[in-house]
Amino acid sequence: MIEVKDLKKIYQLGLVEVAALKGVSISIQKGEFVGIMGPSGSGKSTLLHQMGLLDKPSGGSIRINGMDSSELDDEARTRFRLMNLGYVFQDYALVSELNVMENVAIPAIMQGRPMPECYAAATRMLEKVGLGKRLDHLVFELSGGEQQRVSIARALVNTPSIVFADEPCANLDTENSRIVLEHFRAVNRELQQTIVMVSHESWHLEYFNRVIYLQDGLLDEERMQRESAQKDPGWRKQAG
Amino acid sequence: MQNNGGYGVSLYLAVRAIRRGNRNTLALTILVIALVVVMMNFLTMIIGGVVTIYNQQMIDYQYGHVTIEPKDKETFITDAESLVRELQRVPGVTGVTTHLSTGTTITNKKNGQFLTRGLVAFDPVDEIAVTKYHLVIKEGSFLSKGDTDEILIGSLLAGHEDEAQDKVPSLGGVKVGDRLEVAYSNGVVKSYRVKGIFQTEGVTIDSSAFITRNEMDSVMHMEGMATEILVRGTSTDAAVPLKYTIMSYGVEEKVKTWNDRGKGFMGDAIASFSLINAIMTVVSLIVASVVVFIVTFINIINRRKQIGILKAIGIRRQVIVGSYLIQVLILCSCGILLGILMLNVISLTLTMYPLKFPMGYISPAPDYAGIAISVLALFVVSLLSGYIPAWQVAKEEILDAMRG
Repeated sequence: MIEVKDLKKIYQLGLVEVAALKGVSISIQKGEFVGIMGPSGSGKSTLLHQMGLLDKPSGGSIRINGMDSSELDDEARTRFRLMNLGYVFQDYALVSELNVMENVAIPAIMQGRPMPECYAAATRMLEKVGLGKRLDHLVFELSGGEQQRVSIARALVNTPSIVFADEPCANLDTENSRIVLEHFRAVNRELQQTIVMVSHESWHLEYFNRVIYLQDGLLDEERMQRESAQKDPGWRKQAG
Repeated sequence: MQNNGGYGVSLYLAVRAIRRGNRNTLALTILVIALVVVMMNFLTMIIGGVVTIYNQQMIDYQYGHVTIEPKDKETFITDAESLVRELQRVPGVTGVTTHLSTGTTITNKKNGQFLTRGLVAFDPVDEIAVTKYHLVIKEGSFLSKGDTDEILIGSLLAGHEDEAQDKVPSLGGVKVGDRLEVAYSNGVVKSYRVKGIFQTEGVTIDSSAFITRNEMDSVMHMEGMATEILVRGTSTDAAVPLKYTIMSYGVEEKVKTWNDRGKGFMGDAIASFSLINAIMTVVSLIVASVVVFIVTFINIINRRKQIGILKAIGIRRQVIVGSYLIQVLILCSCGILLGILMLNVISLTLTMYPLKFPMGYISPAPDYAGIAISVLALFVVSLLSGYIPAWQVAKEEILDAMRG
């Protein structure tokens, strides 16, 4: 479903070139709940942004559902994101001038669907994340946890192929983090929703099917093998 | 409701941004645009008023609707009486008066001050049917047909005892009942009692002097001759058709409308006013564009992150730019409507309480074609000023925009 080959990203900071990704190759299958972990500056968010088509790589290739992202121009990338991808950001990234339902409905409206259908889909998603009674509220009237749940509902409203979540629990307390992660787990299991999530919290491991470890812009193969060998039988029991 | 996923989304976002955005900024922006509309049109309105009053003064005191002048290379209309009779038969003519003008030196016998002036003679009965001097008598009374010892003068010619108060050279404070000595070009010197002083607020007009035609004929012996014949028609708009009607009656003298005669001097003045007005309009447009640019720019800079979010979730750049343009369009429309309302209130107030200008009380004359052009220009300038910052930010990389 997602095929990343030799992905490189170099940022130009003044006269200095900083290699955030130095050649990462990964594959993510449909229905997986994949975590991307690693120390600060290891390239986690950069990799997520590249796979989410929010940024363009300096080298390598990304294929999503068979589509080579390098063949898409800006307009087509925007369209592809709208039709196929969903996003949850660390700081919720909601539009302050839209109320809860409008925030969730806007990607559906942009798809050109009839307005009642958009609002109905938004309402369904908000009910699913437990915010069915807060449809008319404005963003600033919600707690951080509630805002992140709105963000999840927005990410899912168009039933995307893949949801990308960039440290969605970074600004939440443990209780709200768990609520968010439980929602992710639920849609992953119930809808076979592919989710790719960046995290730096070790306790989140229990929610992931698989973890991609990064270190200094490269895959930490050794750790991935070690963790996989140690944790694979265990986490399935925990999760089950 | 079906949406097209394009500019319908722009409208959706724009309406909500305005509804839930900062009310004070919204009100201030609308007010500034309204004031720009007022600025762009107020001077035009006043100039329109000045032109209107000046035109009216020309018609009412100087030229009537149509003026008949002597033929080329001639100083006088020789058979004025028969021409007058002919003119009185022309359809649409409501009054005809002959003027005979001659160069004189007028001396105030009280203080010895004198001025060289063209003294004009008319028949008071005919004059009333054409001009309105009889309605603007400030002191004393208008001339009567039989007056031979009396003179009617303008307030500026009468002047003040204190010269500092005079706008133009005067006789130094003439009052009704005072005597003026008039020296004619044929050497005759006569003394006249000032019967009335008129005040029209027109500088040239209020510097003139009149006697009756009978008196002029007794001095100059130019019976049946005239230097001009003024004709009054039914309305100002009918002046041009009236001119051609008179010409069609075979009048050989020069036939001119009030506008033909007055456009030389006033045309230059109006052109100067119009130039000043055009400069004001350009300055106002620059002010408007800068205001809209700043408001949109600040608005957009404050929403860089949101623009990044919208792009990230798949909202097209054109839709985002479109939403800002619609916001500008809505603000502009509200501002323009308020501006037009303010202009109407100003116009109404100044019509009820006219401004006192040196040439008289000015009521504003709104130029609706000019307002329409200024509104159109304001829309264009505002949309451009809104488009530039919106496009600049919307073309930013998503992640850069999202970092705010």
